[in-house]
Amino acid sequence: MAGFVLHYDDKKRAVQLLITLGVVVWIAVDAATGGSAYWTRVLVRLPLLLTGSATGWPVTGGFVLNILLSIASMALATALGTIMGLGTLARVGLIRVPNLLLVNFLRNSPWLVLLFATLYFLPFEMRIFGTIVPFPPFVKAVIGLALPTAANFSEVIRGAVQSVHSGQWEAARSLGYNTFQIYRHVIMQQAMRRMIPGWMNLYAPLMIATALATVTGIQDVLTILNTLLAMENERVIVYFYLTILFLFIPYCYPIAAIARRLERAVKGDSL
Amino acid sequence: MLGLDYSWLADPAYQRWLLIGVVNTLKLAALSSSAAILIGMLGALGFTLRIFWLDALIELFVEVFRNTPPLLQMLFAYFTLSTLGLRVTDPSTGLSVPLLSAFACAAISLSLFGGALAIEAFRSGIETMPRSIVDAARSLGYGRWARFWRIEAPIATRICLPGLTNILTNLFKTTSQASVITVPELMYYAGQIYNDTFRTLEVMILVLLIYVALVSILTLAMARLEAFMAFPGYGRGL
Amino acid sequence: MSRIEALIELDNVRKSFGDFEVLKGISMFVQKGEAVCIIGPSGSGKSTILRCINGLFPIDEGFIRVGTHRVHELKSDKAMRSLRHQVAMVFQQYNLFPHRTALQNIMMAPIQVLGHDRAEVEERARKLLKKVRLSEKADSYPGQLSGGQQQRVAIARALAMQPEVILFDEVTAALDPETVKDVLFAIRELVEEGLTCILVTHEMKFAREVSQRVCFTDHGLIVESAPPAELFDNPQDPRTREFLGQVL
Repeated sequence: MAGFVLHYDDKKRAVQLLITLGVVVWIAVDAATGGSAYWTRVLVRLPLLLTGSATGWPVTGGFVLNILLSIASMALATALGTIMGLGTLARVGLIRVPNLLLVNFLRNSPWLVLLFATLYFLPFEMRIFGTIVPFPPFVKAVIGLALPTAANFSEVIRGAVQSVHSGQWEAARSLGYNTFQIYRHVIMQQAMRRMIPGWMNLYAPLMIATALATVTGIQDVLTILNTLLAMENERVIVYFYLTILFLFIPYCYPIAAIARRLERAVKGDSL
Repeated sequence: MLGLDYSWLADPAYQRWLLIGVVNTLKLAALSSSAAILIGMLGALGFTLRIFWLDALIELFVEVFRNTPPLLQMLFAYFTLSTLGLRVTDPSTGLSVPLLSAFACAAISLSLFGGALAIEAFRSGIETMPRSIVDAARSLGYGRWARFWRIEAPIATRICLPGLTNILTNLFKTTSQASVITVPELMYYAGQIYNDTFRTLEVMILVLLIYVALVSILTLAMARLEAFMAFPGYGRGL
Repeated sequence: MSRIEALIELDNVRKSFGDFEVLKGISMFVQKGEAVCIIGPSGSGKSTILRCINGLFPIDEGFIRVGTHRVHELKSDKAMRSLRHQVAMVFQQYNLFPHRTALQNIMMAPIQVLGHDRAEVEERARKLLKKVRLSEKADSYPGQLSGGQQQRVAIARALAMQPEVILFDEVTAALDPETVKDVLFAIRELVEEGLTCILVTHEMKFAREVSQRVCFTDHGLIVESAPPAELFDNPQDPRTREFLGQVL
């Protein structure tokens, strides 16, 4: 008998599944009746929206570019954030205070404004050790989006390190470890478990923010959408916007959900 | 080193633009923040009722709005709501014009975006309420509603405050994206000014500083509120 | 002992959490003015018995009566209001409300739930604080008090409801050894004044000194119930002997 009882969460999932199915059916019905012409337009343009080229290959932009941008930004943010995070934990005020100021400045800046500032601040190219390093718009977008994420990641690191019980420091020091060794062998090992969900939590917002990169002029999904819309009639616009909105959800939702599950799993254990 | 030129700032016209921009940014932020808090409270209350279909709907709403770019939400509201029929006929000209202004579209979509984040924050606040506190209230004879208003709500509000601070600052920062749909807020006027003066870097640095100053004030105010509301003797958590 | 005279009566109470049966048929009586201790290994269902008596947990089967209230028939917190007036509870984790001062914690429920007059309640609350010897802490918040002090405020809060019965759920288990004695002192006073008490406790010495009867629970059943001298010195059941051998 127990096997047939629908629990609260099962019923909830069932309703959500029904609504999702309802949307799919509605699209199918709409496509079969009045909206077929509009959906055909979307379908024709879909490879372009996804990859930046009308045939789907090679990848020159589109939603895939947003994904690449988010991954590159995340990598840069992880590196920068680690440096800033450890900087804010430094015991030397000369290192700690500027780092704290920088982190707070970046955390309080709007992403869009920071992106614009990066865009205008960085030159087209820069001479570093005799070689000319170019700064194409994509690189500027990577940096502009990495900055606020790095600041947020440094806060994650700081929180995780501070959550390690102070007794661990005392114990390690009494065993003769120096500060670097304590970080490497004792604190970071324990803090890592706390950091991973926090780090993952930063990714979905970053992916969502890649939509802003359209202001740098790269061929991301929004830039392509804008170019396309100039050629389409008013009514089709609705269909295009819905399509793009629903490109983000299946990509971002699972990542965000996994991050939250990890976070909940870590919350219970005491360090 | 950078050779920054701020002589344009002496022009009263640009000063006025900046001022109007700041005022409109504050208006947009205040309006959408209040609406977001209201949506958050209603949504969290909806969760506590434990009605499965309502719960399912609220959760879908939250996931859709927090997993899509707010910029896209605003563009969608601005460009498509009028196409979908939200239009009125202007009596003076007889032309069909969109019912909602750019400002209204931005305010609505920001409220929904912030509301989705707020629902989640309030819900986790209620969920982290120690179960034993609820037991204590019940054993003292508090009924469902008295318990909610006298015990759970005051405690949950304090637990939620840090999360709420994050959401309000996030929302304030996101108002800058309303410039893309021509809402005349600070970022929009920044564009107007550098189109006039070609001083892009100077304008952006100034505007960035203004935003950071405004967000810092908001953060500090919320920190003061958190300190004022904190449970004496407990530090930040319970 | 007669059922009719008993203030509290439990008959064949069963309670499960999911597939796990915590109470497998608990029957007991408590007379007015009696102090009964419940001892037993952790997980044997001691705390669950208390939570069933004041209706925090609904039971699956059986009969519970407190005074004139048939607890197993009360379905909502609203219906249980007068039961909660009669039966107060003190918890292991104190559970004071962190947003109110010690004095406010004591005054809240009598004013908000029972609708008593504020001035009268404040007088009562201050007397109770004096009784638990915390008069000077009236305006401190729970977070500013030690565990033992919080627990004594919690006892005062329970007393402010003017209950006929108080349930103590391992009230010293979370406390530092030096503060345990103040809390036990406060409870002993109440027992001596003739308040009906049911105590779940790990303090065997205290159980022996303060109670008129001790119940030993194991695996959801009351294995043995006797006056303390009898139960501690001459336990009848092998399970009781084994348990006492471990803890004493």
